Amino acid sequence: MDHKEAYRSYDPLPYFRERGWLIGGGSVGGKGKGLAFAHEILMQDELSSEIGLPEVTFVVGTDVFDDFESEHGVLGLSSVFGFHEVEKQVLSKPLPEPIMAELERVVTALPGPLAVRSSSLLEDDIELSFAGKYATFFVANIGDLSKRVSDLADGVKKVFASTYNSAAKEYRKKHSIPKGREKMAVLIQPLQGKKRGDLFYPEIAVTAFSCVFRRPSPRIDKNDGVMRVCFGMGTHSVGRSFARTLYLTNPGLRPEGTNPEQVYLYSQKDFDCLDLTTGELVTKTLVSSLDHVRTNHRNAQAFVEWYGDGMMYWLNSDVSGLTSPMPCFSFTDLPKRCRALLDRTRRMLSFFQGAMGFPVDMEAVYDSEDDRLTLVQIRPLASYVEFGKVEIPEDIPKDREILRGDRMVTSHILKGIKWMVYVDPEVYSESGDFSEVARAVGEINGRLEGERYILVGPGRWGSTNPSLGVPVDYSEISNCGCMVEVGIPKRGMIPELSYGTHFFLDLDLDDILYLPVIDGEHENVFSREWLERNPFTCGDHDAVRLYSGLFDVYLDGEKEIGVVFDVAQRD
Amino acid sequence: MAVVKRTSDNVLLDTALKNFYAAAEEMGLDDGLVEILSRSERKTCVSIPVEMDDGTIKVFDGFRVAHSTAVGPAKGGVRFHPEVCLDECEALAFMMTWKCSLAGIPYGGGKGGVCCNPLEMSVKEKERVCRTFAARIEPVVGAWTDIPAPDVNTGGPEMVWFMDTISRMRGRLEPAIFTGKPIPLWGSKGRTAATGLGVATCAIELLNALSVPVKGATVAIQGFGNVGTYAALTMVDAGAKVVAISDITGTYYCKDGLDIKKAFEHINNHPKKFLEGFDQAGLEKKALGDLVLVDCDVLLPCALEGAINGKNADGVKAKYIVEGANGPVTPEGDAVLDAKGILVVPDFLANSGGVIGSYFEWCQDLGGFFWSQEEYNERLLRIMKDNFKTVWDYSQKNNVKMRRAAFMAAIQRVADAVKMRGVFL
Repeated sequence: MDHKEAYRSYDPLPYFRERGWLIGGGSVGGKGKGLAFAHEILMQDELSSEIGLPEVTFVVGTDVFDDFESEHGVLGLSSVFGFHEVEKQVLSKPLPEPIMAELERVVTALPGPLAVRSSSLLEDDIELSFAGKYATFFVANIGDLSKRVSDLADGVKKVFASTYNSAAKEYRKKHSIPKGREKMAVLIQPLQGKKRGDLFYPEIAVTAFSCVFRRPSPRIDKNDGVMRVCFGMGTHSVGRSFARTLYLTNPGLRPEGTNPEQVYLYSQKDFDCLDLTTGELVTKTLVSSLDHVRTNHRNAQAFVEWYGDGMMYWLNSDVSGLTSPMPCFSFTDLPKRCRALLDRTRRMLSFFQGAMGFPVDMEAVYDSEDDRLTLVQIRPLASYVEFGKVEIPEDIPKDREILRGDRMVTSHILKGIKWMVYVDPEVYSESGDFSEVARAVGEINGRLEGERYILVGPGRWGSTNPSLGVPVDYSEISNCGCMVEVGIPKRGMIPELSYGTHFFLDLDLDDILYLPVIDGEHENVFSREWLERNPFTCGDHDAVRLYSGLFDVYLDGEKEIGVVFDVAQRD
Repeated sequence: MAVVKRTSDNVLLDTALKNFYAAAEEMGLDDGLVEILSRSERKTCVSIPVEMDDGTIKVFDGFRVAHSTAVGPAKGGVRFHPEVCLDECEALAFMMTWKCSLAGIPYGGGKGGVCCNPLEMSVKEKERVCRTFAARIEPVVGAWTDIPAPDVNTGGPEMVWFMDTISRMRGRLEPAIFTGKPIPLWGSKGRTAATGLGVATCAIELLNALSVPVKGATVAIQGFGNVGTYAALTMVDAGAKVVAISDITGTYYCKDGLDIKKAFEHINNHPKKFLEGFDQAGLEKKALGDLVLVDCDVLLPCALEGAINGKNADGVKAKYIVEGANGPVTPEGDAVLDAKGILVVPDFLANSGGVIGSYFEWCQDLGGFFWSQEEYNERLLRIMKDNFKTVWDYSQKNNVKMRRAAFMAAIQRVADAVKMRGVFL
């Protein structure tokens, strides 16, 4: 039996049952399986002395979800109401009594803050991602016993409700997964981290991938592995912003470059943590919490630097002479000061990739003072089949070449696409109503259900900062076959592929091709001329244009050249 | 014998040459001077072998061009970019000669660069590129020969590596050889604000020259970055009313005047230094493109190239424009503004505060004694005022627009220096 098969056929139930961690029956879901498998194989290797796991992982099996569903009929609600209403309804319904008793056992056994994670049945499918579709919640676990139990029950119910959020619904629809097939298990673990003052958080949250399918530079190899780190809770490392990307073989390279101003702009400046006085997940700014960070983190100078007047200064510099100096989490000295973190992450990724037979995706937390790395979640990355060699046609007439880029290309061909959706950078930037543009893209995405299209727009799709790109949600672009990010350096809109974010994991898994094009750069084509010459219809916003025609996409990963051209006019 | 005009395949260099020949002809400049000034004094090409982090060796191409040192040591930036080439460096060195000349500082023009993609390099690799480049150009740079500065993709860290390398090679500290160093290490206070202060000074001098009271004059400023913020603060200090500012997040308008100090504080506390979320009583949020159309006395475009163009120039309601950014008014836009009678103070003159700031850093490094912010600003103000007057007078006397006058006055000063020094080497 090969490793892939060993993982596929692994039954995680005995693992949880033997330890008394199973609540209810049924499946433990994808994450539950990943964690159990990881633990069992890790125990057979000496790597186990260097990597920790949560001391306990309770799992609420999918039968509980099924019973809840059959009693309260949430699935029916989800086709009538929006997500917020569904969540409200779910929270108002009780969990079965025996489960509440089990949850009481959990809060008694685990007195500290808890992480409540989704572990869905379909997440177990190595062909599907679902990453980031379902939620993770944190429970401070404070107050009297009944409050603690009811807070935990709310966490479990919120995870149930997340089964019906729009991104997850969209994803299931796209993959033709029938309604009701998805089932949800819930993992309950002690939240990894430390209490520092009134706050509870891990020093560093890590997400890591054993493969770099989408590389920022040819210097990075596909099998190098990549990690993203952020200070505090990992809630800051998902989403497309502000976590430090470290390529495991080239930790000195940053996707944003090494210019101090850019490093500052792309650095994390606030962090998430649990406030133990209120029980809330809060976001603290570094500038207001600098004393706290300095006092509570002996290695703070490895992650925090000052930025001022175009320079980075180390944390202990006298910055009084600078014009408005600001601190940021640049993690500049992390690779040097915490070599063990990088080394161990690399070995761990390769170990698990070997054992599972697939590239893997993991989440961990790291404490630099204790030099302790704790794995909190691991799963195989969906299989990804690259096309073989791609030869870009040499006879593409210049006037039909709409886009050409020369970096981050993964081999692929897409032919005969009938639609192209284009967001005009000028109209977009000057409109000010960025979210309306995103919604207008979503409207067309909905209209083009069942057809693939080429999506072209300025900067980064899905950016949370509208000045860097159109702030779409994954569900608003889910039908596209090829996403093109046009860099407009003059407007500061530059594509950036943050592989560690859930958004781009979807692109890989859904085979959505990606091509960055930098306007005005050598070997890059962004043909405004073609876009102005050809007829289009406007979407709900003037910035959004829909072109109909026939388009081919050729991506040659070997030579790093990608082109999109108009074939309708060729004949 | 007529001048044999140089041309180039490089658009930037070709344009620089054409502009120079046209102005020289209009000025009636000596053929011999035209021949001398249309060529660079020295063009240096170097190879830069660097060991990358993975142990492989890469060799980059580096360049340094000194176009003219007639007025003083060559001055100009070093850029790191994949498209850097010798012709581009020469074109930019050309422009630096005129810029320094017009700025009234004792510098000629230079420029340099390394053909590389700094986005694909680690800090350590960048340091090795800097140090090897500095070692290779060491024979042609110096505090009294050629003084490089930051440019595209270079800044404080690179200047420190340059300075440190050459200092070690020469066995003595050479702080005055590079400008743009960090303030704690032979850099200069006041540099951050210098360009904006200079832009505002030109605006104030223009109003003075036209006998328009500065107090109460309304101002709109496009761009609230380094240049825009300090221009705004200076205008407010002089009694003007800044009614509109903008950045990539939109235009912020208040007809009774914006609280610029509050806006400045706001961006300093914003993670991306944006105005996003700024508010005050009476504030109206407008579209980004509306800024240049605001009804005001003075418009300071301090953000994008081509912000005022053939499409929107007709809608400009300002009476005067002072160009803070490089090339914010396109030639088409310029023609429309001219027809509307709107006076434009060119970028060339208005945003020279930056290079004057570099000169001040050099002066302080040579003296080994540092000025207070007040001394710095007072000196900057004096030079900017003089420069404005030179161009204004030239424009009035020769009945040419300020843009043309600025260029001609700049060429004149260099030509005069060549004349005085004579033709030798």
